[in-house]
Amino acid sequence: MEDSLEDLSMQLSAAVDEITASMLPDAQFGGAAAAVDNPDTHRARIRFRGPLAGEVRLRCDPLAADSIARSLLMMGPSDPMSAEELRDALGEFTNLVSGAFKTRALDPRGTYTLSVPEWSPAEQPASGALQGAVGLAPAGGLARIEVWLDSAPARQESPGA
Amino acid sequence: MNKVLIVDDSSTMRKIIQRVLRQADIAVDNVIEAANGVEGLAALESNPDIGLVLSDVNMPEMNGIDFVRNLRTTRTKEALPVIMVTTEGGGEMVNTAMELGANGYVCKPFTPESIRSALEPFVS
Repeated sequence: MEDSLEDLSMQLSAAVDEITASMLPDAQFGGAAAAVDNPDTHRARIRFRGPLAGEVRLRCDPLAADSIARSLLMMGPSDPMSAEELRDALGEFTNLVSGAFKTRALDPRGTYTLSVPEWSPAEQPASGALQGAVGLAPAGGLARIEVWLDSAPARQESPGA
Repeated sequence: MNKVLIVDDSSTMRKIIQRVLRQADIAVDNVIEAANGVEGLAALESNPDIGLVLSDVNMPEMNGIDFVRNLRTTRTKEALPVIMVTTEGGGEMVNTAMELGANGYVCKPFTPESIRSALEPFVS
């Protein structure tokens, strides 16, 4: 890979911006992409495969998860929402961000495939190198979207979180 | 239009598509939902009056590519328009779907305007 991987972090930010602008207009960007990690954190990820391999990860606290899901589903704050609806909405949000990221950052580098969304109740093991992270603060909650590469190329930059 | 089939593994996206169809003023009498290509083919079998299909590309069980490949063995592009709805606009999978007989595609995230533009040739 000849071009800088810093670009991945910038393109992730642009992808998140694109999706939130159209799907979550009330969400605010968090300044520092604060860590979101506690026992009730919701986690989803999409794997990508191609000349680079890695994943886009979403982590969010319950407040952010609820806000993202209700925004996508156009539900009011008191509308009943099942755990399955919440999970599916977070997976779809991750899918939308991953698709925008793929179009912006991966497709120009070669042919890539995306997985379907995966959920994990616990933190996925860090199997690669963090390339960038974007923080969101929907409805006062905290969400963090990250891009990871499975194997760090020789010219890898330091993590952009 | 009488019936529309929406094939997407995300129930969230199936709801979003239905909402945007309404916002785009595309009159639909009935929406049939399927979570993958296998369910989509079964829905077409039991609902032969479906007039339009909106299908995701990346799905478990049977993806949108194989779904289009299968349905085009029995239904022509003229008889049953299929629009791919995907996050992967212009990607290889979309190109393959078009070669196999999809009539068009629309990229997620979409707007009522982009949905209307993609469906306009196929709805009255």
